[in-house]
Order: sequence, then structure tokens, then C-alpha cells
Amino acid sequence: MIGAWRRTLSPLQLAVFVSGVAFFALYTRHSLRLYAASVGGDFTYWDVVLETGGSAYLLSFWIVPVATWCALRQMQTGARPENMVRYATRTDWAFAQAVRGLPWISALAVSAVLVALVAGVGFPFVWGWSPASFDETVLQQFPALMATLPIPLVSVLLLCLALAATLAVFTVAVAVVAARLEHPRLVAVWAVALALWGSISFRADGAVLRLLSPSTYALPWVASVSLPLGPGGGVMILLVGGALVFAAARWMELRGARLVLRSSMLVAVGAGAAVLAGLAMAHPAADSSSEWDLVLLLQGVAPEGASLLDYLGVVILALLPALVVHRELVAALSGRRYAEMIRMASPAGWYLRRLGAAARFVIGYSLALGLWAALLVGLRSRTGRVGDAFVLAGAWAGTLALQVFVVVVMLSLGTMLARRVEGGAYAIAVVAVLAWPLGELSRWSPAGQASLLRLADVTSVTPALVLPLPALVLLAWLALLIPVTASLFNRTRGEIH
Amino acid sequence: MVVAALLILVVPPVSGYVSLPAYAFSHWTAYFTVMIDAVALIFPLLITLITQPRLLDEWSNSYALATRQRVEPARYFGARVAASAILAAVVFLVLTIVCFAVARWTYSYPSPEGPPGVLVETRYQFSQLWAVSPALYLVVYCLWVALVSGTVAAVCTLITAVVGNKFVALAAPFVLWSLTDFGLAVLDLAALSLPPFRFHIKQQPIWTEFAGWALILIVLGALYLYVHRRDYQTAGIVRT
Repeated sequence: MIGAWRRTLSPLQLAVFVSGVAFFALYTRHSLRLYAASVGGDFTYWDVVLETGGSAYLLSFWIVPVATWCALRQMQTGARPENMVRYATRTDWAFAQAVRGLPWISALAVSAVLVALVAGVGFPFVWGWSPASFDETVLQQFPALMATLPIPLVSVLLLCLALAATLAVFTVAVAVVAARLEHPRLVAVWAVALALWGSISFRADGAVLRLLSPSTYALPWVASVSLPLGPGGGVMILLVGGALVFAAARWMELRGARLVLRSSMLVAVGAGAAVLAGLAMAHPAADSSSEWDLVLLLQGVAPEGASLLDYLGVVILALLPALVVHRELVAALSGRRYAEMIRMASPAGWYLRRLGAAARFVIGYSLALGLWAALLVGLRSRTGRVGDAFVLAGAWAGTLALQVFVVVVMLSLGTMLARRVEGGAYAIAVVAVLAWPLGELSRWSPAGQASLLRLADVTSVTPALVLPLPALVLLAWLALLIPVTASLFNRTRGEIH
Repeated sequence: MVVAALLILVVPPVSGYVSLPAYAFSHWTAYFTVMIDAVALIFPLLITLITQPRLLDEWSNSYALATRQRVEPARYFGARVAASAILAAVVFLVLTIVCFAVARWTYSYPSPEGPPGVLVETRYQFSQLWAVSPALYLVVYCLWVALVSGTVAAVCTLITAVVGNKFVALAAPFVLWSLTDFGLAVLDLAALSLPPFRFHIKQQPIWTEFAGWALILIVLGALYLYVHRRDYQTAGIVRT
């Protein structure tokens, strides 16, 4: 065991790492002394320790790069077929790398904290926090001094644990790619990209970017301001999320992950979730309330008027699942299922049964996106009534389901009217044009009602007021379009060219 | 195809002319952008609809296999790509000229004191050329629209050649176009959004127009290579 980890991190390399941390500690001591002299502050031992060990700069520019090197060395020796055959799945092997890397991970985490503990020697020692730790000016200059827990010693222990847990997850992330033995060069590219992301993202302001930054999980003081679960939230999320991801990845791998990943639902939900995350990145979080934050996220129209970004977001969210459903319909009408429809003697009945199956798909898609939207808003806004945001997200998800269903029927209607495949493409053009905000006309349009701005009364004092009009408009369109399309199916016997 | 092309040529100028009384355009070029707005929203879909249906019919069975006896596959496929590109380029060139002409000759301002003075050269993509000569801007922009339309039509043809499901082949260019523009906007790179109808963003340096076109060319090259390596017998060309 010791021999194995020495190949990953030799004593000389550990000495170089410790020297780097020590150099940073000396610089931090010097900066704190200068600052204390200029403002008359009174820093204690723990302030220096946590400012040194909990520095995002030290983590991003020294600890993570060294960890990248160690992880790559570990993969170089471990990612071989003769080692991997001893594990039931690639997932098992990838997660086992966190345990296998524990010696060097703990060496890095513990030595960084030990050097920080030594760096504090010479400053006045008290068991509690000093008043300077809570000073607003100091916190702006040295945010690591933030008192994340009532006892400094517990803060240091938590820091050590969070560092080790983050490095372990980092190792697993590298191992996931290393498990694909057919692309050996990809591992180095991926590991370096992760390290670069760590050094770029720790200064990010956006809530979503901070959620994806390694420093949020490695440094308890960052976790206390970026995550809703307090200073220990980072470690909790890593442990619980890691366990869930492990269980899900193993389940998928054992039951044909590739098949599952190609399934229509996952593709549609994945694309929709990516679009929502993109909208969340593009829209700054609202300060006022979580309901307003949700309206901003899913509005479909920018506050200053029509915006291409919001328009495209709403169109893609409604169109993609409809395209997935319609693709299946076209394939069925062009293939052997056509004969099945003719045998049933009722093309309309066949079509309605297919719509029933599509409804389950659409409802699942909308529920998943509604939950994702509520989660995004919950993570973004730390003020306001989250319950109202959930109600609004639920109403939006319901309207989105109706909207997708209307688009599905419009595509079928276009196809049946033209009796050609390109009829569906004409219907897409109609949907895309009608989704553009056209003022009063848009209130009655069959497309674009999934915009939350049409669902919520933003002029109201409480923006969570949900208006039923968009849902009613969509239901009316459904009541009109479904019988027309079904009768066209009967009339044309579902023949398309 | 003829009906689709005629609709594309007639609807934008007519819809612009009908909506003219509802607006107070400061210049006739602003009137032109309103005419072309709906076209800009579904630009790749319109190109697909005028160029691909005939190809979908031609490639709906093993017809392409039979042509290999008479003509070299690369030449046959190249001719199909070129025909699509030329057709789209001509239709959109004529559309742009017609819209410019209608906007120029039917423009009016509702107030008797006339519109406020505007600097067209700071408003739109390529309109920096207006400062040199208004005619130069109009000619260059019309040719640019034709060039980009031709390139997009070539990409649409290659997508039709690659994708087995006919409906997906028709919808894919529009979906990919929308996703690309959406992704660029999210990443705060709207300045590099796809040409040629970029009226939704403020004027950018002229080179940014070519960035989007270069991306389309890269996709075109990659798809062409894919089809060539499969000896022109991809899922969309040969349907058995």
C-alpha cells in the first residue's frame, strides 16, 4: 500500500508540496501583520490558520494542480485491463480509486492543514474567535476568516475533511474518464480541464457557477455562503450526491447504460435541463423574491421587450419533446406499424392511442423540468417564499405539458394536411412564428403559452398570482385540433409520402 | 418547392407593407428589418423547405444506388449539393432585393415633419459600408445573404443525406441553428451569432459575420467528409 502511494506521491514531491504551502503561509502571515498594523486589528492564531489553510488561491493554484498530477499518476498505474477485471463494473473501479488514492489525498489535506497550524504560531492564542474575525472590513479583505463554526478547532477539522472529500471526488471524476480505456489521451485532457476549471471558477459571481466550483465544496467558508446547508453543506452534498451518483451509475451500467442514455425521454429531459440551466446562467438572480426569480427564468420575454435568448429558450423547451414524439409517429406511419393501423380499421383510434402514450411522455418531461426549475430557483435565491416558487413552477410545468401536447398535435395535423412528411416542418415554422411575442394576439396563440410571463401577473404585488388563461387557451386549442387531426387520419388512412 | 419559394418571396414584403401604418420607422432600412424578421426566425427551416422535399423524394428508395451505374457517386452527390445551394442562394437573393425595393419605394413617415435623422452606418451588420456608399451596402448585403443561404442549403442537403428519418432530416437544421444561437447568447457571445439576419443585436465589427459563417463551413466540411468516407451510401441517401 505504502509502496503504491509512494509511486503516486514520492517523499520528495510531498516535500515540494509542503514547501509551497509554507511559502504561501509566510506570505499570509506577513500580509495579516501589515494589515493589522494599518487598521489596528488584532488577529489571533486561528485567524492565521484558517486564512492560510482555507485560501481559495492556495486550493486553486497549488493543491488542485498537485492533486491533478497525483490523480494522473494513479490512473497511469491503475487504469489497466488486468486491474479493472477485478471489479464488477467500471463504476466500481472508478469509485474505488477514491479509496485507493486516500493515502496521497490525506497526505495533501493533512499536510496543508498542519502547515497552516504551524503558520499561526506567534499570534495570540485563544480558544474562541477573535472580534477581528467578525469585522466587516476584515471579512471583505480576508473572507477565509469568516467564523463558519462556533469553535475554531472544529472549523479546522471540517476544512481538512472537506479538502480530502473534494480531492477524492476529483479523483473519481478523473477515474470515470480513465475507465474508458479506449481513449487514454482523454484522461489527461479531462484532468487538466478540471484543474483549469477550479482555478477559473472560484472567482465566479454567478450562483450556478459557484455550485459547480470545487472551491465551494473544499472550503467550508465558501460553502456557508454558497450552499443552503451551512459550512458542512459541501461535505454533505459530496457524500450524499456521491452515493446517489454511484448507485445510479452502477444501475445504469448493469442494465445497459448506452441503451438508457439513448432513450428519447433522457435526451429530451437532458436538453431541456441544459436549456433551463443556460437561462439561469444568462439571467442574474433577482434580489427581491424567489417567485420573481422564477418569472425571470421562464418568462420567454425580456423585461425590456422581445429577447431572442428568452424566445429561443421557450421555443426549444416546447419544440424538442414534440419533435421526439412526432419522429416516432412518422417512423410508425412509414414502417410496419402502418399495417397495424390499417388492420385496426380505425386510423383515428390508432392515433388517439398513440397520443395517450405521448401524453405520459410529455407529462414526465414537464414534471422533470418543473422540478429542475424549482431546484434552480431554490439554489439561486436565498430570500423569499420558496413555497410560492414551487406553486409557480408546478403551474408552469402543467402549462408546459399542455403546450408540448398542442405542438405535438399541430405537427400531426400539418403532416396529415399535406399528406407529406414536410407538413410537419411547415407546422414547426408556424409554431416558431406564433411563439414570437406579438402583444395581444399572443394571448390567444396556440404557441408560446409556456412563457411564465403569460402565466403570472407581474403587475401584481404578489407575482406568484397564477393566471389560468394560458392553460385554458391551450385546452381550447387541444379540443379543436385533436378531433380535426383524428378525422383527417380516418379520411386519409394515415397515408404519407 | 415552387409554392414554398413563391410564399417566401411574397409574404415578407406584403406583411411588411400591411404593417407599415402601425409603425413610425425612422428610416426605410428599419422598415426592411421588420419585413425580414419572421424570415430570420425560421431561416434554416425555410431553406430546408425549398431545397429538401425533392431530394427526400429522390432518396426515398434505392434510386441513388441505381444511379451509380451511370454516374460517379461523388459527381452525382456534388451536383445535388450544388443544386440546393444555388436554388437557396437565388431565392434569398431575390427575396432580399425585393424587400429592399419594396421598403425603399413604399416607405412613408406618419408625421408631416418627417423622420428624425438617423445614422444607418451604425445600426446594422455590414451597414458600416453605408458610409462609403449606400449602394455598396445594399449590393454587399444582398450577396452576403445569398452566399450564406447557399452554404446553409448545402449543410441541409448533407444532413438529409446523413439522417435516416425524413422528419428529423427536415427539422434538424432548425433545431441545431436555434440551439447554437441559444448557446452563444447564454455564453454572452451573441456578437458571434449565426448570419445573415442578425437584426436582434447591435452592430458588430464586420469580421463577426464571418465567424458564424466559418462555423457553418466547418460543419459542412465535416459532414461532407463523413458522407464521402461512406462512399455516398449513408442512411439518408440509400433507403432500402
